[in-house]
Amino acid sequence: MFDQSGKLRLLWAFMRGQRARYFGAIAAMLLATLVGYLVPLIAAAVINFVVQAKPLRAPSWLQETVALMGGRSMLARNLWIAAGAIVALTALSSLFNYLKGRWSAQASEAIGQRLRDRLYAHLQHLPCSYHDRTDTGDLVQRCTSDVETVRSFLAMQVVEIARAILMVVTVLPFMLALSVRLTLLAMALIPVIVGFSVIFLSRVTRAFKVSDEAEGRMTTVLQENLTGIRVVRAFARQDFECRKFAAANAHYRDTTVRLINLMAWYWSVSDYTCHLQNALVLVLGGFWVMQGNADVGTLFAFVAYEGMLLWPIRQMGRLLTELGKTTVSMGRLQEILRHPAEDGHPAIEAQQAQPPPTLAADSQESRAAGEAPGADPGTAPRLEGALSFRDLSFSYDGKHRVLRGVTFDVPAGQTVAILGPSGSGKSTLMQLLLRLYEYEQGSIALDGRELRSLDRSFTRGQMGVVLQEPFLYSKSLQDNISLGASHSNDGVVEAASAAAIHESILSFKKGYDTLVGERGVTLSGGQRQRVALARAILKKPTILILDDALSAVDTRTESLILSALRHRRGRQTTLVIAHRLSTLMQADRIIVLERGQVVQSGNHQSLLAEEGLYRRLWRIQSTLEEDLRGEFQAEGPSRCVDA
Amino acid sequence: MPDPGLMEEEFVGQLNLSLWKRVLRYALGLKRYFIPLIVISAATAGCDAILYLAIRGVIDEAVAGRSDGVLRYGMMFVGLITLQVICVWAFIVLAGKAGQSISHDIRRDVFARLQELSFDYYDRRPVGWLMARATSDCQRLGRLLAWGLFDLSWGLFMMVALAVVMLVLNWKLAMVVFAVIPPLALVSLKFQKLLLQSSRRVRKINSQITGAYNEGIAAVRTTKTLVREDSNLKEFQHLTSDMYEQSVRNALQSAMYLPIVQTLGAAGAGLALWFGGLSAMSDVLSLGTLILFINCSSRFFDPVHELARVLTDIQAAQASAERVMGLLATEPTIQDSPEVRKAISVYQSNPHPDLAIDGRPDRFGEICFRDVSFAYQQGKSVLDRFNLTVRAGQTIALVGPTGGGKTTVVSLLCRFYEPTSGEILLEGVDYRRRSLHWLQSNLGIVLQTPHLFSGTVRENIRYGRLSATDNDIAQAARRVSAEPFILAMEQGYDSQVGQAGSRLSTGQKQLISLARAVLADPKVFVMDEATSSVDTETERLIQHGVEMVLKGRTSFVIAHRLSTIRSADRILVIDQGRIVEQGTHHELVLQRGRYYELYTNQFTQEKQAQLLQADGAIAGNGG
Repeated sequence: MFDQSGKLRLLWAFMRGQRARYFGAIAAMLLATLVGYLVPLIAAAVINFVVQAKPLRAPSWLQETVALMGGRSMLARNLWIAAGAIVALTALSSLFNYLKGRWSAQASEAIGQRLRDRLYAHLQHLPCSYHDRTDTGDLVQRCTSDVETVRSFLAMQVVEIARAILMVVTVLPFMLALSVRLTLLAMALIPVIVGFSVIFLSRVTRAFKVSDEAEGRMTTVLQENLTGIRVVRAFARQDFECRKFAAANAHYRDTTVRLINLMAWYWSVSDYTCHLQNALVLVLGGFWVMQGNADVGTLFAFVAYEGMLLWPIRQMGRLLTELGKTTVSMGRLQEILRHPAEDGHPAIEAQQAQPPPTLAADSQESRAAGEAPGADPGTAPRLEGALSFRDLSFSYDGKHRVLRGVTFDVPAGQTVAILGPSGSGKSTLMQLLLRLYEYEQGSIALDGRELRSLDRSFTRGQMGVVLQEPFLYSKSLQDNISLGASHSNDGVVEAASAAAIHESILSFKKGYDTLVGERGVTLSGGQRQRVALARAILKKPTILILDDALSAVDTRTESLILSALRHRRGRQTTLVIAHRLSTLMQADRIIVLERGQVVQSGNHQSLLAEEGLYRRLWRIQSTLEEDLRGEFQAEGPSRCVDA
Repeated sequence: MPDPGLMEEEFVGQLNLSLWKRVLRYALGLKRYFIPLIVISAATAGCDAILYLAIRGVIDEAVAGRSDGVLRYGMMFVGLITLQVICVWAFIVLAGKAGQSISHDIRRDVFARLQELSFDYYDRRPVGWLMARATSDCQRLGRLLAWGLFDLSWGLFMMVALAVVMLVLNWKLAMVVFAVIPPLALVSLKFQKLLLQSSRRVRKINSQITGAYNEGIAAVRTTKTLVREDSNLKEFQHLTSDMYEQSVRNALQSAMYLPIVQTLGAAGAGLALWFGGLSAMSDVLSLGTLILFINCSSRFFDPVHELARVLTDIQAAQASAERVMGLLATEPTIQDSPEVRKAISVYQSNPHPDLAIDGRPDRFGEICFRDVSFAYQQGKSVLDRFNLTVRAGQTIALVGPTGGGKTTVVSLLCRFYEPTSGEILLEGVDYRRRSLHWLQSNLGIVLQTPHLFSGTVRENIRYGRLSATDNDIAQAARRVSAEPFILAMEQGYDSQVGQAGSRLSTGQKQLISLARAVLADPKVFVMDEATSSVDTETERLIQHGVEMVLKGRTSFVIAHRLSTIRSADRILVIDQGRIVEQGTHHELVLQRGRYYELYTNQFTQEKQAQLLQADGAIAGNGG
């Protein structure tokens, strides 16, 4: 659990650049409030001075102005001036109110935008190990609804906090100036209201939680019913489901009603206290007017001010709950932003929010975990693509080693295939090569240079990868293959043809402009793999990595693709993870991995000659032949089965 | 499929009265809440108005120097606020209860209707869309009917009460104050409409941003390997700056609206002061009345923008109402025919031991597809004059390429869909002349992706037969060899399976769904075999479980396992909506046709998978 002040400091860091707008908004609000106070004053002055013909209580300059304009009789004849003043002052206060709304909206939206952008950027730069541990739905929830909670707090409450404080601070002098006794009277019940709000709202949170849980339960029943509707029908359990839903539905209704009842108590009790406060001022004030201790205009102004004083007090309950929600949300965002990205640093605002001493310690530590000092950012010449793995070991959790001392070489321009059972470490090897995870023991060298000493994006830029379940962005196929780079159309078509996807793309109604994803066409697994391959080919990488990338493509298409790759390959080094013999056979060299170790290596011929996984795979063919021979023999004399 | 994004939140300009009449029916059932609600709203508004009279009384009496008068009106004030607070309390309680009850009732009906609707309805609508109808739409309608109705009646009563007070005290001055109403009403309606539109735009961009986050996180590896972090961020920033622009516009509109209302309200108060002050000076008007007019005229305009808000809420909710009422009005395309229903009502009252609820024999006998054709969408035929006869007790394996029509054959048999032409006969009787409930409750169906409900293992198995004892359940689990793993769990049969069975592995879920089917002991068994690979031991258990289920029962299996395929009595190779080959495994291998090809492929794949199966020592990450 992080400390409260840390979360608010982070929020403060995000407010950088917008703080001036907030000051503007608060100033505008202050002016609006001040001008707003004048309106009841005018009405009071008119009642006292003009209607009742009592002496005007005002600063001397105003008295002089009024006298200059013709005094009471002029005003009495032209009462519209007073009416006009009320409208003009309200309009002025409205203008300030508008400015307040405008600036606080702009500030809060700008901060919200900054939060969203920063979260998005940081999430992309967080290491894969972070994403392995977190749930996508939870992260998205944080980036959307938690940001929204923070944003709406910034939009509504920041200025309101200032207003509540300022109102109390400013309305009091006004009231005190009018009458000290009435002011004390006007504040009599306020402690009661405050105390009640604080106690009550802390208790109502439990009722909120119960109702939320009941809603969650109802939604779960509904969702499970809808996703499992086939099972419901398969067992003809409609009535059972209706009863189950009825229970959850009624429970949700009842808990929510209970919550509303609690709120009813809250609002009516606090309202009642506020009204009683008004009554107190009115009745006692009335007596004082009678005794000549106060005048009617003052009493009228007090009744108006009382509302202004009570308003922030009644808001306080809401404000406290909002502040609570916001710190919780901010804490959830902080957990993301504090986590060091691949370069070892937390998000910039999270660093700013850190107290200075920790910052220094942190950045030292992060340097150790991140780039080696003097990393060379991409100025290296075009690489040859020779890889050498030396004594490479790796573990995801620090306990179980997935790779144990893997050593082998991939000469530039060669194709090396890796074969192994699931869990043998094939994909881990690829991910270390791509530096999606950091290796700690052993070394990987690219053209003789240690991978860790190179800039991360530079090395990734040298490699083209196709994963078994590749991700396609929800853009057009054209954009998915070219990825924004200004490739000629011919280049895209050529890459697509090499990946044997060109024909399929043309068969779509919109061809290369077909949208991928939710609102577009759903591609089959094999089609996705081939689009991803086209994307990798177009990149013209030094090293092409196929991580079980053609598993969903049928064997005939696969051999078309492989021969196309061979023809255009040139100097391109290729690493292939596969278990189809047809793919493996074409490699210059085959490495067999088992339990994180290289157990065999060689080419098709040499591996067939020794006992091992490769030969066992090869033998499936003969087992099949035997199996079929059995069937045929039952029929009659055996016929030869062509392999 | 209609794009759910576009179906959301249409802006409806005109009020559809007949639609709202149907929605209102839900409120009419709750008269015990609504009649008091209206009385209370009238009382609250009355109190509000009379309060001003009390204030006037206190002031006038004070000016006149009558202390008992001040006290009298003071007591009146306290009495009124007490009454008013009680009203507010009762109102929140009643409106809360009414609103929740309405949501509850609509939700109940929506759920019940969803249980009846046929799969063609589900095919065209994503689960998320249906969920939103049953949750947020129902909630919205309930809230609108209860609170909206109150706000509406409170606003109207309030205005009427204040108007009456002002008119009675001084009708000329009242008319002057009322001059502000028309411009105020116009401004309010205009702004509410603008706000409605701009907030819709904000919500739309918001859902795009959510999508972008989803994609950004799901694609994180791909993005890293393609070094696309910066270009992705740039695209994302387009969205967020759009969001900035639209939300600021929305905020500016509301920042403008309230000040305008305030200023117009001040104009009313100014008018009251001006004309009222003149009358007060000529002693036509008491001071108290003048103060009352100033107070009233500023309060008088609050309900106006409240009323405008309710009206736009109704407009905004109309789309919800249309969707929910539309769902409730949808008739299931597959249901018992009138004659079947009549037969059921006759035989239900005097059941016969050998007859089913529809009065026909409680037997399936021979199942026969005669010239069955089917299309999910018009013109795109999936099955084409399909013929098949299955004797009782036979196990039929359906094999063939994806999209060839295997699943359709099975869905038609289960009457999840009905043939577009041709007929399916059970012992010579078209199944459309039998009870749907009878048919489906005699089928045991195991789907490719086993679906479990949150709850315990026991509850999930019991789903097969609700009346089963714990002993029956254990027996069923034992028969499919599911018991060892169940007992190995911390709480045995009482272990929670998690939402949709998330705490169990795929293999375990398959075993439980087999146990569920065994417990149901159906006359006909239908299975869509899973393709996903499980570890060797579980695979063995599942093979055994499947054998147990199939034994001595008419069965249809969409088969992927060699063991299941080989042990079938008859194998059908289905492609492009027709049976292209059929016979036993042996016969079909000898034919060296499509089956031969499929079989050799499957053989290689299965053996390969076995060889490459993780040896357990280094399970977990990577692969």
